[in-house]
Amino acid sequence: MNLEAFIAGRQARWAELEARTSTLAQSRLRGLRADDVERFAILYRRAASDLAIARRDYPDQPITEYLNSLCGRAHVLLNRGSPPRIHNALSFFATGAPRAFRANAGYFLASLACLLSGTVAGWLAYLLRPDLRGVLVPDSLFAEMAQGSPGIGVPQPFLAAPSIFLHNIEVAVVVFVLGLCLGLPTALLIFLQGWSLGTLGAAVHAGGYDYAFWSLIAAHGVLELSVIVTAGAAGLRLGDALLRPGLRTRADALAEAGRETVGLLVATVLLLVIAGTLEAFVSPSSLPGGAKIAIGLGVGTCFYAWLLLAGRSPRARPGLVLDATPPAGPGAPTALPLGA
Amino acid sequence: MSAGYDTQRVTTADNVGISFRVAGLATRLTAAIFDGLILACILVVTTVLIVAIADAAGANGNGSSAIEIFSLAGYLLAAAWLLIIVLYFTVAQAVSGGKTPGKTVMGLRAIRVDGGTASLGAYFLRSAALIVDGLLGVGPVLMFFHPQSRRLGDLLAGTVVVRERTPVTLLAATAPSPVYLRSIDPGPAIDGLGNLGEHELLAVRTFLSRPGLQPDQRIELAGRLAGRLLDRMELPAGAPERMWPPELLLERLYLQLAPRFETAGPYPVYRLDLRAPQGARPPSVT
Repeated sequence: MNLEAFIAGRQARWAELEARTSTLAQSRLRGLRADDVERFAILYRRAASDLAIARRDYPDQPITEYLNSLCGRAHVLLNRGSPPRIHNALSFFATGAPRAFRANAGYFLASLACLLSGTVAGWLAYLLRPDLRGVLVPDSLFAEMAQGSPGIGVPQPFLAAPSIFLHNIEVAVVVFVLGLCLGLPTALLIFLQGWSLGTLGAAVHAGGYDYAFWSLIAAHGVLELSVIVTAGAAGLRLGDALLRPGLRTRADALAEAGRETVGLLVATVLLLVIAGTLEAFVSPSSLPGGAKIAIGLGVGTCFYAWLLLAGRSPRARPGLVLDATPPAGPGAPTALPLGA
Repeated sequence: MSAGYDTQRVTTADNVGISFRVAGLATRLTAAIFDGLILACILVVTTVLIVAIADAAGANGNGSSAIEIFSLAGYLLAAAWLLIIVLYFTVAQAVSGGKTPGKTVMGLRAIRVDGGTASLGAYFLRSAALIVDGLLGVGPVLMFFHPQSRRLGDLLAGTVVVRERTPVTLLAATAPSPVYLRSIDPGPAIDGLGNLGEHELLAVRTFLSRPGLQPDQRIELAGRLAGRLLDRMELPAGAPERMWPPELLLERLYLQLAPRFETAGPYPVYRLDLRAPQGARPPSVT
């Protein structure tokens, strides 16, 4: 077909699609009428087919470049997921996040192993070199322990709570993102978390303040460390995708790892707000130590019950299971032999 | 799904290929500078607010608690800065479908590698990865070497940043190609014009819109075209038009035929200077 005839017959449609594209780019899809969307989709499909013709017949003409750009802009507008909704977020909390956690359970165990090995190493380090305790643990804390008043001075819990949870969220996000550096900094940061816990634990054990110390950190620590370890698991997943992409390209493996861990990360990191509030209001309070430990264990139980139990598909009832093996017997259909 | 440098090739559901023009390192750094300026303002305001709150809280307490409040505020500031940076990019892109203010200024948009609008999670991943890409400086290096200028955050989120502005407008793309003439004098009226229609006019215009032909080819082509047209016009053997040089005949035919058929208005006409170098050729009509 002649180029001018090609253009003349279609020009009006392209102009209409261009006008609709720019109005659609500014407005929300929800405000559109159904026939507007339908008309837009029709115009887009016809422009795409025009583009295919133009690519074949007029590859070097400006009209091909124009159609390519027009179809690109319309394609981006048409191909989008549903907008974020409260309902979707809630259903992700109820089912998506626990499923993502269980799918990455191996990474969680690896991350937990980093934390525990750090704890053991920190404990051993204190036993071997007690003079090093000041490196990770401030001396003032030991002084307070010795006085039997292990409440970390938190004069303004309303200022302390956001400080604490924002800091912890920062740590969790950094732990996750550093997984992009092949996961090594993630493992190191988790290890160091364990190290400082181990050193502290060994120091207070040497001083004989075990109960005071563990009751001080139990209320918030269980949830806090669990979330940090989960963020570490997501980070290790990223590093693993880069190191062992399998049959996919590294870019594809990384994108898949990101897609499958980002929801889990965000869902668990939001729980740090609870942990930070506990740390600012409950941990330094005058509640008996046993109550603080009970709170910590309760919160931890809820956390792992959510991640391990929620969102499992209902167990299939025996009557509904399809048997893959064909029934044997005289009347049973038999497979045709190959080559018959 | 990608082909070549600086383009992101996407195949639609109808199996039509669309090539997105990928934004390069320099454009994206410029966009990042714009965003950085806006972010700097937000961070300064936040810092002043936090310090003011801490100051007010510290003034109420005694000496030691004031020190603790300020150490808390320092804690808060460091975390707030990082989270504000991540949230700024996440929210700005989520609200506008992949365009931060800096990207809007530069005409860029972050899209999925398959050409769709990215999700909220993808925007968060891109933004969070700025910690590695921006603060550790991995991003610019990777973008320099990557065929589609993707940084780690792009790889992680499965996104690519493309240029939105069109290189060609509909008007420019559908404008008829100009006709090159030596003179705009239509000459004496030609007999037998009634035998010629739109098809013949199109052939003449196509010939005249191709100034880039070699002179000898041009003469030969003009001779063959003029011979056929003269036959269709059924001019007698002694007609003066048969004596004209073929190229002159075609130009005059065009000038006399065009007003009859080109109802949409005259085509742009350029003066043909065959002595000029023909390096930059105008678009030609097939």
